Amino acid sequence: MTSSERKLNAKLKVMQTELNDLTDQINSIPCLIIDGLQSIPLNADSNWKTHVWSILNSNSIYKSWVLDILNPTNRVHPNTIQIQFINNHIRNHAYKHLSQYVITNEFDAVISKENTNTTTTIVYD
Amino acid sequence: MLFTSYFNNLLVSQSDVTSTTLDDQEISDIPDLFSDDAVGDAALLQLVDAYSGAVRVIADNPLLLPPNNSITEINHSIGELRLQLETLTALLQPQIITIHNFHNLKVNTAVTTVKDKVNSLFFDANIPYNWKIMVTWIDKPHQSNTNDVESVTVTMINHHVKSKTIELLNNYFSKVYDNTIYINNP
Repeated sequence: MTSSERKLNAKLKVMQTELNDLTDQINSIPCLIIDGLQSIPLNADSNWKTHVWSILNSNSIYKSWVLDILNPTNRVHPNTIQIQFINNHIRNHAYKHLSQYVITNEFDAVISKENTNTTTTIVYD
Repeated sequence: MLFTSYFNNLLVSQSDVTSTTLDDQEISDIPDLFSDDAVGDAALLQLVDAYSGAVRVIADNPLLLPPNNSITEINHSIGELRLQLETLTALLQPQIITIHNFHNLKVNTAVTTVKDKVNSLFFDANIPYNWKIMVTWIDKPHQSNTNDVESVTVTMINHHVKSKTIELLNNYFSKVYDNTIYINNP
């Protein structure tokens, strides 16, 4: 193999690695983590999920933008929850609004982004 | 089209390279595509286009490749890139689910169209209406009204939404219809 061939092949392999990474990224579900949920005031009769929906609603984050809301610690009153979004754009939009909401109201909470790998088998149509 | 120009440069530079390996600087020159802000759908589509173009240029112009045995290895790399592109393209497309035995579906409200019936199903299964893009079905001669439609195809906005919809519908069909209505995906 000549030097130019080696170079071409090496670059093809770099592209392949990038495509692999990108595929992994698209396969994963875009999420937000709210750490410090209990610092955000809630109605006395709300459960944690209603509490989160209420926070999302007050930040104009529509229900149909959300795939699921999870309680990874399984506590009755979780302090950390995960919100799964239907795509990356909406997750980033929600991140911006929720971060601002936490800062403006001086809640002792942290909003962070996370990508969760899907466990289901992908079926192509 | 960052990658098109990147790849064109790569093709042009084939003829005048003297080094035997890809140096670190060249690798580091490749743009960071995976920073979070770069991964919007539009950016991804643009990237897929660019990659598709680059792979097509090589595949359609074999003279650009060195005429000896190493072409096998390079073709192998191109083949793998194509497979990756197909995967990416599939992931970025709207996704379809098909509901079978749709005529068994009982709806509480009086509905007159298949679309209304699907909306009613989505409401009962707690699935947002606007996760779907389109509803289609095949009309058969013996079908006298919408209640006779046997299967319905629903196009969902993306792969993640499709997976969640399948999960919710499976739960609902299992609980309410004992799986006499089912969807085609595992």
